Amino acid sequence: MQDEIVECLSEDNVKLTPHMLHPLLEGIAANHEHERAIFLFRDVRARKVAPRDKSYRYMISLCTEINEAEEAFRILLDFQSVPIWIPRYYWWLVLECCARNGFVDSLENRLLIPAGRNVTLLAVSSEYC
Amino acid sequence: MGRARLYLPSHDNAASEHLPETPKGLRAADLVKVMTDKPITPHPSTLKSLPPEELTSIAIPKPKRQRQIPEKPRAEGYNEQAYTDAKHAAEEKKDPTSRELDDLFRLMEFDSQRGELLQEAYAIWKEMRSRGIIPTDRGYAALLKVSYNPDVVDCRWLPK
Repeated sequence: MQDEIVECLSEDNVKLTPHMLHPLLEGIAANHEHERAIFLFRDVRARKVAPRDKSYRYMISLCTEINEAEEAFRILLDFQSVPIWIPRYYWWLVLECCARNGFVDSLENRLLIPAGRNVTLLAVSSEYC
Repeated sequence: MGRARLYLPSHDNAASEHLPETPKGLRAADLVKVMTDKPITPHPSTLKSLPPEELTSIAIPKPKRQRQIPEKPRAEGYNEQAYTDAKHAAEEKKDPTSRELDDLFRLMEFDSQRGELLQEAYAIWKEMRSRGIIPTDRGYAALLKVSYNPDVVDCRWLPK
């Protein structure tokens, strides 16, 4: 049903707004189409639509749940650009997911996900940024 | 200096010797009779002997309490008349405007937190769209919310 509604948006000249995005993401995730939700979120961000912080939190939680550590980390970094305070919980959630998926170098205490610059675990935490 | 001494509690039952022996199965009312010679006022519950007019003067009227009925949740920021307006418009065979359709979907979204009005909203949207009445982004956002039922999603992993 949501698919049909979304398909009609372009026909009706209605742009996808952040308020429409969130229930859409929830609906897609409900159908276990997690990758589709990730691609949609990525696409929306590429189109310079600023998702709501609720949607950011939802996507981070979703990615960590399905072990998409890299995507969770990228969304987290993107979330940082939004002028909203990110709860510490999400940093630890992503770090735990990264560690679980072998993205943490335990010797150097460094994250192994390329993010434009070397990001140490301490630097990742919002408290030290 | 004297040493502090601890006294064991005495189990002196001498006092009980002065009391008359009490039979087993003694009631409190009987105990009063045993322990005092003073006349005892009759128990308040034995008011049957009083004439009914005196009883009515004694009776304390109970304060009338207003029954607490929970109020219907207020849909603040929503057009609460949206259903009525839509019904009247349909009866008069008038098509709603996009804004009225938005208000209707938004109120439906407020009223169906668990997607209860999913089918109704979908049917209205289809019908109105076939007539060329398109909701705005506000209406579409409400429609997408209605069409998502959180009960079917396992949300245990979501943070509270």
